[in-house]
Parts: sequence; structure tokens; C-alpha cells
Amino acid sequence: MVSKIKEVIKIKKKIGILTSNFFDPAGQRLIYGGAERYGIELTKLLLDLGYEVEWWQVGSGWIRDLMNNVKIKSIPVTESPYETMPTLNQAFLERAVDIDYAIYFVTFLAYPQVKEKSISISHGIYWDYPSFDNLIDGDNGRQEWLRRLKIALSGPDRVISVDTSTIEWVRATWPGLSHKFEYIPNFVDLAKFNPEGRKPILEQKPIRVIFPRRITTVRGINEVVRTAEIMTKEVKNLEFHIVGRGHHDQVEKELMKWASEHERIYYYWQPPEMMPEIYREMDIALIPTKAAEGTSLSCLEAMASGCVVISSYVGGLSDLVFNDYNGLLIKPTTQNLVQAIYSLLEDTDRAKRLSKNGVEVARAFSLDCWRESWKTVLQEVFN
Amino acid sequence: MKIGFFVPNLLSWSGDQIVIGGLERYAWALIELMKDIGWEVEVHQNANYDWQQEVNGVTILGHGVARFSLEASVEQVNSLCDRVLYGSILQKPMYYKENSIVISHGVWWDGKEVSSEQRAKIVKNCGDALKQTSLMISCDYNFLNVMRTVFPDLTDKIRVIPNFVDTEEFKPAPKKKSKQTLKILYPRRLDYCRGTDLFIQLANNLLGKENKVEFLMAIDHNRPQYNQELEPFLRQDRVKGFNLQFEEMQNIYRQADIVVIPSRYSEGTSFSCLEAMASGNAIIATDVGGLTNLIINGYNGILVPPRVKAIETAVNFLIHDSQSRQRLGKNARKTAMAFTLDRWRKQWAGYLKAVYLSGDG
Repeated sequence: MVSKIKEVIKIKKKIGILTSNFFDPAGQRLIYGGAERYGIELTKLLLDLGYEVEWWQVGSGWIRDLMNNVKIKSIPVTESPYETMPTLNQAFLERAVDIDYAIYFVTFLAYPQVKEKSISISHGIYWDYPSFDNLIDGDNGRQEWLRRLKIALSGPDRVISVDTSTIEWVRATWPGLSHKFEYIPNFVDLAKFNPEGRKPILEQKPIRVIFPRRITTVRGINEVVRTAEIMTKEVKNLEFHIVGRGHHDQVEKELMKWASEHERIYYYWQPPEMMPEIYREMDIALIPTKAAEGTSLSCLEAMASGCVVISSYVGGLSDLVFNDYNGLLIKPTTQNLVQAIYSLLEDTDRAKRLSKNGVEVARAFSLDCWRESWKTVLQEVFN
Repeated sequence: MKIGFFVPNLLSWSGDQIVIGGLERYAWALIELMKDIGWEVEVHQNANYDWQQEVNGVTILGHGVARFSLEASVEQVNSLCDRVLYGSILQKPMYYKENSIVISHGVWWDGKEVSSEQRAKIVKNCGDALKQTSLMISCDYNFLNVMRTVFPDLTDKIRVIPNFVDTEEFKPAPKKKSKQTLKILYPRRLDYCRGTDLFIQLANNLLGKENKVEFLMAIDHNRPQYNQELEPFLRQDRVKGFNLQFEEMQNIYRQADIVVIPSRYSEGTSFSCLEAMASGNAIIATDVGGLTNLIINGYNGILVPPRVKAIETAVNFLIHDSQSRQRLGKNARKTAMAFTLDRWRKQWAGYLKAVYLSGDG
């Protein structure tokens, strides 16, 4: 009887999620990358589990709706010394007074202080490229940056890592912290991304190669551009589709001009809901990331759709692809990309095997599995 | 072409015993390959006194100067051989010859026992080795990922060749009879870094709860005091210890239903894990080092953090779900086919020829 009364008067527990930029700081444009899609799915799960959810981010103080019954509030902050945002962190603690639990959507946001019951999320190693040094003032700042990162990782009860290479990095750097980590790889929605009704691999002309990433150097766009030029010249009936947004209009314009000068090379972008359809028409997907990579959603989606994935081994990608089993793992250079594509064109049976295994492996990364894993962690930490 | 291959302990320091371990098996496979390419291989190693032996048709030279310093032993190799292949990264600053290859067997400084000062030194030594040599061959991708965060400008020199398994030798049992008891196997050395104690805790927790499980340990006798400590545990009902030769290992995998690889740290692409995969076992491995380059959670095994509770949950799940055991085992066998010896030899041959048949020397 008592428990029944408690049930009736049970108040929903509220979770505050702190991020840097879900919308751009002006609150106008939704930044729709992999991390943001992660945020949407996480919010849906939390709502389904009966939590109330509120997001916080950088902005002038505006408040807006993220989705039904979910608000996103902003805090004016401009500085990010040593790749951390202590002012945002503190303002969140002071202002989000009515939350019961906190999720730090990016690890460094948990510096210097955290809500008593909290979880943070690591989306992969982002400090593995030479110019990262510039952000932390080189060797002078490295110690301070590391000190802050260590504090950020120490605070939360649990750190969810989307890949194992981040966990191994922590183990190799601060072994005493690795017990906080839990590996929950990224997900793919198999109801949308699947090989049903797809173009049979490498059977119908034209053969299509897709680069389904943001147009940035760390994602390997330069190597892909060169590869596209070489391959479309040498192989007839081969098309290159570069599908993704750039960070600036200028970059996008330049690529459109470039694509206009080359036959069978196309540059465009489409909203996420169009991507399943596009993948079904593609044979080969290129994920030649050079740095800052987790368990890429694009890689999982291409794989689940039956594209043969040619991927680099950076960050979490080696958690998704085993070389010559469900794709090819290469060092991301133009020469290697060209060679890898040729090796598939020359051996269709092998390409089909890789595609088939890719579809099978992708099932282990289903959205359902991801939700189950998260649910377990939430119950452990927020009870 | 003559090549000096430095392997710290291919034989015991006195030169009278063949050492059995992952590193050594790796070395023998590489010696075999270089001989097949037509090269003359001379192995150099640490020793108590200077000696020379012929084993399996290979000359092995033991350098007694290792008693004074392991670095001196490498210096000896450098002075005797024009071309040197370094079998592992050395623990101290070292001079590596140009136009050479050095092998990384994975991150080994990720345990709590290593002080932060030591750790910084080790990482620096890895960077020095990278700088001096032409190529570093790593057995897993995590080593490369860790290196990239410290030396993003040097990691272009790292190539990954995951370890191998003989998929003919290690095969699933012809037909698994429906048995009364499930056998859970630990096929590793007795070592804290390999998670021996985690397996023992797991067994102790489950023996009382589950009647129909048996715990098998296929372990070494390298350090007899460890075996002595383990004796009371092994004396229990439904616990068995084995000290097996390599040739006998395939049988123990065939008997097993579930294989646990509970490594804590210092792990590459473990031969044991690969052998269990090839044998079609349902595998529970930790998300440590190169194990994540072999197991995809929920596809060909279960990946867990190196904690007893997590391992126990996974074992419990598998004990009561024979369908999942079969599915994971089947996919494990299938995945093992991507890690064949043949593939390993082809990749290695390419790099060996590229480095040692060009350049000076």
C-alpha cells in the first residue's frame, strides 16, 4: 500500500545535460553531426525511461525547444582555456539547481567540478593531430591541459567511451582512472540502414564510390579528392559521390566548382533521413580519417547498408572493421585508397564477402543494443 | 642477404631451453619466413655467458655481456651485424641502426604498477625507436593510436600486422555432444597482468551458485611459487589445472565451451584469444590492448572491462544461453579466418623486403 502511494506521488527525476554547442551559439542553426545525433537518441532514451531532460550549452542566454518537452538553455561563455570550459561548467552547476543528475556530453566539460551523480561521454580521441598543440600552446600548455583533462575524467561516476582506443589511451596514461570507463560503441538504426533492395555490389554500372563525411582535412577529404580525380580518369563507369557539409560556405562552393569540372564526380549533401536511400545505390564507402575519430556513425551506416567499407585504422574505426573481413583497413593515403579500390574492382567475390560480413557485423551495433547498454549504466549510476 | 635478429630470450639465458611464450612464437614464425625468402638468419639474444647454438637449423648467439647490461647486449648485435631486425622495443634509450625494423607487441606500460615517471620514459623510448628505425611493426592498432597522441608526426612509420593463428591446427570439435557440465577455460600464463586472480575470483563466485560448470586452467610452470599458491584452489571439485605443451593446446580448446581472456593490461593481439577463436569457442575477453582488434562485442564474443562483476555477468549470460554460445563461437571461427598465418607472412614479407633490400648496408 505504502509503495503504491509512493508510486503515485513519484516525481520524475530530472537530468541536466551539458554540452558546448548543440545549436550554434546564436541559437539559430542546429549543428547536425554525429555527436548531435547521439544527443537526440540519448534524449529519446532518457524520456522513454521516465526522466525529465534539460540541455545546457553556450549562448547569449536564449532558451529554446530541442524537442517535445525538452528545453535547451544557454549560458554566455566565450573562453575555452586549455581546451576546457570552466566558466560554463560552474555556471551550469549554479544555475541548473533543480536537476537530480548530470550528463557531461563531452568529457572536458566535467572540469573542474561535477554534480554528485554524473556521467560523462567520450566521443573518441581528439588530440591526435599535430596542430592540436596550437590549441594548448604547445609543450608549455600540455601539462596544464593534461592536468585539467585528468580532473575532468576523475569527477564523474562513469565515463562512457564510444571506442576502446580512448580507454586504452587512458590506461596507458593514467591506469588508475581506467575503472571509470565503460565501452558503449556508437549505434546504427538497422530499421533504416540495411541492405534490402540495394544495388548488387559491383555488378551494375556505374560503380559508385561514396565519401559520406564532413568536408574536413582530418576526415581525409584531400586524399579523396585526389583519388577521385585519378580513378574517374582511369576507370570508365566509375562515379565518385562526396556527400557531406563543409564548415564554411566557401569550402562547399569550391568543391561544387571542382565537381563541375570533372565528369562523374559529384559533390552534394543531404539530410540524414535521405542517407539510407543513397547508401543502397553505392558500392564502396570511403572512411579515410586521419585523426580525431570514434566509432563513426557514417562507417556503421555504410556497413549496415552493405557498402564495402575502405577505412583507416584511426581511433575507433579498428573497433568496427577488421582488415579483409568486413572491410579494408588502410593507412589513409591517396595511393592506398587507389590500390584498395582497384583490389575490390578486380575481385568482386572478395568485395561481396566483405559487404556480407559488414552487414552481419553491423547488427552487433544496433540501436537496440546501444539503448540496453546505456540503460544498464543509468540504472547503476542514477539509483 | 644476411640478417641479425635480436630476440631477448628465444632460448633461456643459459642456452639450454627453448622458451615458450607469445613473443618467442612470433619470433620463430618470423625466422621461418625469412629463411623461406632465402635470407640467412642469425639470432642474437641475452645470455649468462657467450655461447652459440644451432636450433631448428638456425644459429643462435647468446651474449654474456647481458649480465652487465641489456643495452650492451644490443650494442654487441649492432657491432656484429650489418642489418638488424629488433624483436621488441627496448626498455631503455638505445641506438637502433638506420634502415631497420623494430617490432611492437602492444602497449605494455598500462598497468598501475608502472609509475608515471617510468611511463613517461617508456613512451619517450618508443618515440626514439620510431625516430631511428625505418618501420615499426605493431601487432595491434591501439598501440598505434596511443603513439599518435604523443608523436602524431612519427606514426606514419608504424604498420600494423595483427597476430596469426593456424586455422588448420586449431579447429572446432567435430560435433559437440550435449554435455552435462559446461567447461570454462583460462588458457594463459599465471600473471596478474593476464588477470589470473580475476578468473579465480570468478570461479570462486560461481562454484557455489552453478552446479553444472567446471573450471579449467591451462597454465605455465615458469614460476613454481605461483603454482604452489594456486594448489588449494586447484584441489577443489570441478576445478582442473593443466600444464600443456603447445601441441596439446588444441585439445583443451576443443573441450572448452567458454574461454575467458581476462587480461588487465600489457596485451596485444593475443595468440590465446586467436586460438580460442579458431577453435570456435564462445569467448569473453576484456577491452584491453589488442583484444578489441579481435573481438567485436556481441558478434564473435563478449568484451568486458577487466572487473570481476562484469566478467561474471557475461559468463552467467553464456552459461544459460546455448544459442548465443553457438552463434558467438561460429562467428569467432569465421573471424579467425581473417587472421591466418599465410596473411601474416605475406604482409611481413612485403615490409621485410622493402626495408632490408633497399637502403645502405
